[in-house]
Amino acid sequence: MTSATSPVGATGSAGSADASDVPVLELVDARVRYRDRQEGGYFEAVRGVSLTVGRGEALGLVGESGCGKSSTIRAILGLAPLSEGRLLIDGVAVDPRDRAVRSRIGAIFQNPAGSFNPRRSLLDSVAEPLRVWRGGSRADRERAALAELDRVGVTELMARRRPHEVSGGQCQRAAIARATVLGPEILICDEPVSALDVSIQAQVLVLLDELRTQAGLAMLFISHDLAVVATLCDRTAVMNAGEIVEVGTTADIADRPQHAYTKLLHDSVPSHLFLTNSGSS
Amino acid sequence: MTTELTAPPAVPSGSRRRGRASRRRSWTWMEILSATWLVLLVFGMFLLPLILHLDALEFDAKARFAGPSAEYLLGTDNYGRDLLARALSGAKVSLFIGLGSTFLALVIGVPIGTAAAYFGGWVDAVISFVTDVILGFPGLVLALVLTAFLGASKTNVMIAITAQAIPAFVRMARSQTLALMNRDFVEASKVLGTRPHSIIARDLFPNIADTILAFAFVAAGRAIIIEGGLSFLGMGLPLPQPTWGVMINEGRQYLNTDPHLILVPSVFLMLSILSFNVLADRLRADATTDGGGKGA
Amino acid sequence: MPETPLLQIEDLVVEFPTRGGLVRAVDGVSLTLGRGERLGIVGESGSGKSVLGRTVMGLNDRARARISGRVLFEGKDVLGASAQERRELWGRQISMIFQDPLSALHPITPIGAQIAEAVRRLPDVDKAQAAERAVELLDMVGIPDARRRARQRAHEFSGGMRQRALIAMAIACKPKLIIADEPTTALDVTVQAKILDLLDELCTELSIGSVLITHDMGVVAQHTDRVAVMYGGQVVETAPVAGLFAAPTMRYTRALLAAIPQMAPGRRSLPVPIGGTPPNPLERGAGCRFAPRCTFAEDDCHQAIPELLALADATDHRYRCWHPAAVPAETEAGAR
Ligand SMILES: Nc1ncnc2c1ncn2[C@@H]1O[C@H](COP(=O)(O)OP(=O)(O)OP(=O)(O)O)[C@@H](O)[C@H]1O
Ligand SMILES: Nc1ncnc2c1ncn2[C@@H]1O[C@H](COP(=O)(O)OP(=O)(O)OP(=O)(O)O)[C@@H](O)[C@H]1O
Ligand SMILES: [Mg+2]
Ligand SMILES: [Mg+2]
Repeated sequence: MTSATSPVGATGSAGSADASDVPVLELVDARVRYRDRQEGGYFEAVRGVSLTVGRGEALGLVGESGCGKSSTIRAILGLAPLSEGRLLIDGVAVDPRDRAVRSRIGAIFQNPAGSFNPRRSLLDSVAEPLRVWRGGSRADRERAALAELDRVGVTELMARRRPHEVSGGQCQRAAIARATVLGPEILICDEPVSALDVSIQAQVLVLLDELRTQAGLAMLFISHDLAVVATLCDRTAVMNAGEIVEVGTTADIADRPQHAYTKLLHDSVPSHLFLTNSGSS
Repeated sequence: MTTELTAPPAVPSGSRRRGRASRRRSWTWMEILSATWLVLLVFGMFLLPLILHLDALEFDAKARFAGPSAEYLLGTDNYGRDLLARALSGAKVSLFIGLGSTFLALVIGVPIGTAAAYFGGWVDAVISFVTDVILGFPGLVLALVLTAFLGASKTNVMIAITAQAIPAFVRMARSQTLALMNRDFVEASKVLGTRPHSIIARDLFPNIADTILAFAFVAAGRAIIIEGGLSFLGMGLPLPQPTWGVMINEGRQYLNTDPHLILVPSVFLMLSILSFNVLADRLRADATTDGGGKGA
Repeated sequence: MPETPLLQIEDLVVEFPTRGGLVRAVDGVSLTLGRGERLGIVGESGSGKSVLGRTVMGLNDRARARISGRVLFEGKDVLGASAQERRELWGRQISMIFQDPLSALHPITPIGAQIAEAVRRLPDVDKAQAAERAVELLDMVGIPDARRRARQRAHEFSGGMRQRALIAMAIACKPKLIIADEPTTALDVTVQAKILDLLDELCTELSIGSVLITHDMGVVAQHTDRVAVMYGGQVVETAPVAGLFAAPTMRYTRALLAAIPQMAPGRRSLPVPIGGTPPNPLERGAGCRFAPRCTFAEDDCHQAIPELLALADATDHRYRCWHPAAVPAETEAGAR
């Protein structure tokens, strides 16, 4: 109801022209409701969100904690109920719970170690999508997985370890390898760099940027850090209380925030001015 | 303060795993003692009766309730039967029934419980309801009803004891799995399009195995005692065959006057279960150390 | 002699035996923390921050790791403490906010009940009071509609809310020392600022000492008194916070500062990653740990590990570097 009258929606490439005519990923008027165990009713976490991501484009999604960012992408990934609304891939409506959709969308989660089975080596986990989708011999799968891991900068030695035996950065690279090993068209990232320290955060951002430009991935990138989004995304949508309240080029959002929350976010980005002076010698 | 919350039931926290998965440890005292006990028990079960000419069934009217002596190393019971002989003779049956029925219950119960948690909805509702109802009855009563129905034979006793143990495994597996369902790695597998049976086998089972296994040894002890209860009530194995459970149940009557009657089989039972537990722990630790994933 | 400091770490070494050999995760760290003082520990992933935190907490015991050196909490040895003494410490004196909130929270117990359990460690608190206090605490950390939320379970919380629930739990028993391992990674800056302000307030009010482990230089700048920069298990630079940002001396500290994503007005610019790979704890050379990645490294950097030297004009600013950035010539003399 709100979105029909809502003045903004992330649909329509506001500014960036490199999105071809049919967006790779399109979400129309999505709603996510959770059952409220205590009062019996429903709690609507996502209230009519629409967004589009084109080929080779990165759309940033920022917003306050608890505003429904994760719920939105969980609906796209079939992990949360999409109670209303449609998901289109390459202009064709699909059911997010359909298994066939899964090989076309890769996902990266926030907690690097937590998103790997603690009992299996990283290599095993990265080879897993190949087992599920491609078959082939175990050796072949491992070779393909190692190649992908190598591309993101994880050595075989590291890949044979279990998630808790490598650093967070290595783990997150492996997670990226797992998400891209099937060659998906869409990459969905839920705060992929929040748990990483700055130097590795920078490496992962550079890696994601490469994937986007070289492999032409459509990327939906969640972060609570406007600065991080600004380094990677062309367009940014700002969410608040389950709705998209502002959308535009990242530069516009960053420099001329309109919505009250965006302004707040903008103002409270810690000033690194004193760092820039001395930091880069 | 948050310490006991750091490791949710099923998945060990990172550092605990890392700690365990360090280089091959040398054997601890507990492990050596446990292995020794089991070796002695097996040796005793098969060879000692031959060497010492023990007879579990022979009455000695002159030596009822006798304490340990050269002739009866662990004393005698109310009929003057050799307790050591009986404990050793009972070991075969008790261990077979205890471990066998527990193994079967685990193999049947864990997949049911895991499936209930994984699929949720009405599947879960039905399974949970049935489990709760069955768990409302004491295990002995259930086993009793079943054997009464099926008739007392070794196979039927086994079936009855297995059946009464299944619900506990179902519930255990269900709650352990529930705790894992929202973890990122399970969701990551779902998002990759992995089929449920694969997720259950690869992501869920290995991560609940530790807890289930530890529980299984407790369940085995319980199974042995229930078997004794059945025999005691005349619904177990044909009577003269001694088992630990039978001995414990018989010994209970003389708890105040001659505690060694119950002590002997209880100690055998406890030591065996404990040893299994310690060694299983060890095996598991080694398994996690050696295999960096299955292929490494 | 002034009163004993809240926490003293002396020459702490923590090693893990692994298949590949002995991993020295913490390598000779010495730090001191006074009552109500806020210490920040920064450094890249794998530099040993969490291991240090867990060891101080007494969570890495000698059965799992080889530990040498001493950790004294109010003058009492933590590493040698019995299990009973340790529980006492955890329950009442030291609390820790863990890095991964989802695995640190119990999956099925309602959040409110988990916090209430922590509250009940305080003397003379009954069940009802504890439950009430739990709601208050949730409210304090900025979770709206706290009374309803208290009855929810961990998976019904958003990422940021889980992290805040952990923080509520950590402050519930009014400890003397809080060790926070990356407590605000999942929070946006507005909430983060609120939470850290809250922690600051508590620390001054109840003179709680805090160790804040983080990779966010902005957080360190605003919410700590002293900073220790870790690299490869060692403290490579430590200084009062103003001093560190005014004159980052060790080369690694500088590189770390350059890697922060900047909001440059009007254009996109990727941050400058630190080149090379983080040090492999199994293959450490004889020289400075950072030398293989350092653009300023010269031959002598690969020969020997530099000592922790003090700046001449600020003796509490120490650094480990053979060719420090912009050090006035005379400071070399100010060794300890
Ligand atoms: N499984 C669930 N059941 C009930 N409520 C839920 C569930 N998952 C999320 N919620 C609620 O939905 C709202 C949005 O949560 P979501 O995880 O999408 O937030 P978010 O924007 O990702 O926040 P954060 O930045 O803190 O991760 C929150 O109020 C949360 O409590
Ligand atoms: N139990 C263990 N066994 C073997 N190695 C370990 C163990 N615990 C930690 N390590 C190693 O010690 C080093 C330091 O790890 P630690 O977790 O302290 O890093 P960190 O600074 O907290 O990094 P992050 O920012 O990723 O959390 C790493 O190289 C890690 O692999
Ligand atoms: Mg989220
Ligand atoms: Mg850490």
